[in-house]
Amino acid sequence: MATQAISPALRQALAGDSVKGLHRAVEAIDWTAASEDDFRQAIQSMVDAESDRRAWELAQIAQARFPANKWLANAARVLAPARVVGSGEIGVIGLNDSVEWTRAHQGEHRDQWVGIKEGKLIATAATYDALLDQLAAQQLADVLVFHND
Amino acid sequence: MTTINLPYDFALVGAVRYQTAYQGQPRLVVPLRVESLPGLEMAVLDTGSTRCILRPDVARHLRISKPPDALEETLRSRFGDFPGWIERVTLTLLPDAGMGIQTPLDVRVFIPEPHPISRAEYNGPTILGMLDLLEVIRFAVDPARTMFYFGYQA
Repeated sequence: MATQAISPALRQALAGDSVKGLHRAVEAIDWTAASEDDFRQAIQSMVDAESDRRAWELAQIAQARFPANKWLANAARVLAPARVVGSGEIGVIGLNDSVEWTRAHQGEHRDQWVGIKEGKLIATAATYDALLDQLAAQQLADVLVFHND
Repeated sequence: MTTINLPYDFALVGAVRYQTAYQGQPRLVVPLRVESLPGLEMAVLDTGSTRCILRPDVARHLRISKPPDALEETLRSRFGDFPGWIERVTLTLLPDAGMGIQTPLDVRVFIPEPHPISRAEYNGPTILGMLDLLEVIRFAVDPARTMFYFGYQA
């Protein structure tokens, strides 16, 4: 991976284990001279260091510089902060009763996936996929599903 | 009793009961819709986890597969170390009927892949982590009533 365009300080920071050192080095870099691989290496290092906000900011700069690079475009997409995307639907009927069922029946149906709706057991299956297939076949929605270990 | 006024515009939008255990361990477990799946997930709310983690069988059921240009990461957890990638999904916080409105959130999630040597699958829960989700909402817990309250800054 080419890093010739990146300062020795960043190369050292990428090799080190100091998150603060990585942040300082990234902020000190003149990114106008950086290559696609330089961006990629810095973004990946920041994600590994759980510095997603800074990684996202850098990914946005990188995507603008290299719009054809799919890895950079995907990084800019997936790293964006969480956001509320709508609201207005009312709550789920009987959801508290369903949660209560899981508390009251913890020792039952061991090693089974179970489906609870409005506080009542409505389906069991050996696998998650089989349970969801049952729900889809019966056109059921808002069924609380969990595995009873 | 003293009432504290919050120093920002807090919109409380929902409340729901929570489960207090996952696989026999004390945890705060809340119901959640993933995308539009008919089965609601029981997700562990974990302020000690930076990531949201989506169980691999949920991802498979949604037909989410790893893209060639995926942003990869390694998850280190008490369930083991797992490679995987970061994806975006819609997770909806759900209140009980009469206790608020649903809150869909577009969030980052980590999707674990099988361990490269043992091929073991991540066997943990779906996780609601701090960095990917919890830090953008507001939440409170009432252990006496096992109630989880959620909202966001308007």
